[in-house]
Amino acid sequence: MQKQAILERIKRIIGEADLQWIDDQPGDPYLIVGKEKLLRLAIYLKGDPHLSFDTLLCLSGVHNMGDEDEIEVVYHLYSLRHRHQLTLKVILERPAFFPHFYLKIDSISEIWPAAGWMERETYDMFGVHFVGNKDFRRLLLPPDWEGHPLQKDYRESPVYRDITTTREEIDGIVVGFQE
Amino acid sequence: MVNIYQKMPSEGFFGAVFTTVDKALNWCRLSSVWYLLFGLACCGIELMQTGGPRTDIDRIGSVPRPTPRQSDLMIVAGTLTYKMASRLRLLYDQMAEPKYVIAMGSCANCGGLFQLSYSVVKGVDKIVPVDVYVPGCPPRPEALTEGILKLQEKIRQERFLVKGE
Repeated sequence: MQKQAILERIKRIIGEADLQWIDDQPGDPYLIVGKEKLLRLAIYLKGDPHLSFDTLLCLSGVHNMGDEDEIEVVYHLYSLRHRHQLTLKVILERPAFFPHFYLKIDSISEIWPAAGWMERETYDMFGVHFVGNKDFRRLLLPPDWEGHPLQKDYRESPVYRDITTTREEIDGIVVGFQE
Repeated sequence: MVNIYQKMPSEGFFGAVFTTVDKALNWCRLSSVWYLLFGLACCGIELMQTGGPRTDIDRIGSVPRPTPRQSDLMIVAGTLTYKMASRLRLLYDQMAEPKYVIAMGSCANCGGLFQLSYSVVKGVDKIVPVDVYVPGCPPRPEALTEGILKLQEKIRQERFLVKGE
């Protein structure tokens, strides 16, 4: 199926509200979905015989800190049966106060089991909570780690488990992160 | 060491070596520096090559051991992360005294290429005491051999048999 045909089929089933098709950007065109609609759309994308997106290729995150502070969760879907591909994005706003309260999204690990670890990695790096993931904890970093390193305002703490995270100054050369 | 070979006409050849106990002990220890395999990154490949047939450090008495309990030397080869740091300390604590550490490569020395990273320890000397630093990214097998020879010189200078305080 072509991209436009996929889009038409999605619109026919779940309506045009909360959907935004972006194809004037460099790279693959993508579909922006509201986070309330994601789970319904995901069930439909996998179950519909004409779409049949049976493979989740990648689940990742992007932090945009320009005029608006927002975190995108990006889903790359592929259908081995029809050999077509779709990119989905969900945009989560990240206000300055209590950002963890807003960074919540439905987990799709019940639909595509491969999402389980990728959601854990996205939580690890960006701090997005995936509600419904059965084994939800950090994947790569130690469990007592503070912060989410790929958020753009992340600052490394000076000490981790009594290990200083900077190197002592030698001959005027400073090693390690500096403000 | 002083070697004196005496020929005893009635008993054939008779050899004798006169030395001190310290020197004899140190000579034994420095000739059998068994190292713990601790390859963490690309330096681990060079570490394997150092034990291979071209730069054969078996000829100076160093053989790899897979367990810390039989090792005298830990060669930390590669990038150490904070998550791995507690394991490094555990393995170091399991080694029997006397024990030595070689920090191999830029990452193990000071964090190297990953100094600005959030997850990399900026030098293994923040975790365990280091005897010899081998620079390079990664160091060639010749450089690691030189590091082990330096460590042998250090062991040769040590004195264990001293009178109590």
